[in-house]
Amino acid sequence: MDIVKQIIDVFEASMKKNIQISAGTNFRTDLGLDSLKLMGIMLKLEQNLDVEFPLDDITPENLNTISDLAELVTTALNAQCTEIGGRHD
Amino acid sequence: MFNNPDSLKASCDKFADRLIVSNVDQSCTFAQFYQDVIECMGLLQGQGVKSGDIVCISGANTYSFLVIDIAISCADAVSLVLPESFLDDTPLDLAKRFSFNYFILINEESFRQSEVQRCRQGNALDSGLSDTLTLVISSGTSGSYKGMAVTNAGNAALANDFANVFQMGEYQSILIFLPLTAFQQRLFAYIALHHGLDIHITNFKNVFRSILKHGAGIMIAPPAFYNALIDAELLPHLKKALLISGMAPLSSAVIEAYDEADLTIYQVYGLTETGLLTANHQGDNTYGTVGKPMPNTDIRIASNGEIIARKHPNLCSGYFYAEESVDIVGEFDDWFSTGDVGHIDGKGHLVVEGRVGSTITMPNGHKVQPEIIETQIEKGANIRHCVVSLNADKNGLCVIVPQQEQRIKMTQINGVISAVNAQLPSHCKITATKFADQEFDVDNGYLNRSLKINRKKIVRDFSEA
Repeated sequence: MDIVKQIIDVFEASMKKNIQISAGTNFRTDLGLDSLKLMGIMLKLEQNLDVEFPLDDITPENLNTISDLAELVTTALNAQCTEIGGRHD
Repeated sequence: MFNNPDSLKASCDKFADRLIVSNVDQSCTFAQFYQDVIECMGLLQGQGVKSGDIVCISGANTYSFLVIDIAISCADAVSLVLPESFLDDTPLDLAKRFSFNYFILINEESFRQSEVQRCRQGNALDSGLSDTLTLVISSGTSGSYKGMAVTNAGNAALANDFANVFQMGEYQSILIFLPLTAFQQRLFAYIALHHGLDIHITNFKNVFRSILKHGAGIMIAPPAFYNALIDAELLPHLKKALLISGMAPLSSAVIEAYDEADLTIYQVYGLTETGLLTANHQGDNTYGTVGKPMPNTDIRIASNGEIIARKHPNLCSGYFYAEESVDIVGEFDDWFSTGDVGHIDGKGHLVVEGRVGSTITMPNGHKVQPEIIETQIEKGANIRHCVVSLNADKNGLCVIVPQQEQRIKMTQINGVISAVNAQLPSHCKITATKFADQEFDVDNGYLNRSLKINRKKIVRDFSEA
């Protein structure tokens, strides 16, 4: 399943508000998420996708949109697959 | 409490198998912790640190922080703990400002890799500070700072206060995620070491992961964090936890959500200067209040509404002033003006209404406490934050709301403002709503690292929006 779609599903379920979310949606300006709320959703995403993000490296400068997050997820999944000898694209 | 190796050894021997867990899944026993502290103390002494020296430390929440902090005390030196926000300045510039002898920027990987930098010679500690455990600094919003001298006696009394009122011995662990540079967080580590509770040290970004994996044990956090735990669907992981809150009122939405999950949050009130002043606890919990006074504590309300407290012993001996040496100015030996406004209800519980410094004086001299109005709006519209200030024309009040909250909950907010206005005198109605184009967040500085609202910055940036 498309990673962007999976991320959007998690955000839509978490937001409890009827807001249109797309790859370009900005967490702060479009969804009004503060960093605590964002971390809460990231936790759900980790559980849904069975992946762990390097949370300490995440800053408002490098994580703003669903697209940014999809890139992070892909990198994390690839790192996991590399550890067991595969690759995820 | 741990100002010599013997007292630390006694605790670490007694609770040798208890764990300090850092970074969610790296753990070591209290027995190993003792060995590390002794090794670190030796390293410090090898660098020249001696009794009475002031050693400045700063850094992120790590196991190394705890080792170095306690090693300094065991070496009979005094730690001066700086918030990370001060680290833009060089150690030598900081040494000129705070009169410390050594500087350690704590290495996150290992205390052994934390470089000790000698900054100035001589004993900088005034003789009146002989019982000092640590010097703590809080950064002011105007660029100034407040330095306080925490005493060993005050620290021991405060640890006992917490342990007694909350029966902490019944719990398994303590969760620390707010900065260890704030004294309260280090106090909880000391309490855990003294009473044999596991210590979970993490940071703001990993705290949810830590709760998911280990639960919370004993946790002290501001209301905004308890709200965030609801959104993160982590309440089922808080069973058997002791949840303590301070700093601001709990919203009715938070109270209801925790009630439904069969969880209770206990609100307490205290200051770094004095220690714990009042507390709700398992035997007496009244929402909307911060509880009754602790033993050896008197509370009264001054004629201007300010909460005045007298406690023995206070946590701190006084404010310190650092120039050529570190000297105490204004010892805390009698009634202490807290800077907070409040009242005592019919059953003796203290209700904190806001800060004296945030009181708004209308043109006719009428005083308004903005926090009371903010709480009503936040509760009524179920929003996390808003800030009330004097309108630019000074003839009314304005409420500043993050734009997203306003867009999503405009109807509720307008309805609540109408209801609040109906209760306010005619000369201090809310006449304007301003929209902040950002959330009030730690990342943008509208919340500080302890998740308290930065009122001055919000009013400065958005009252003209």
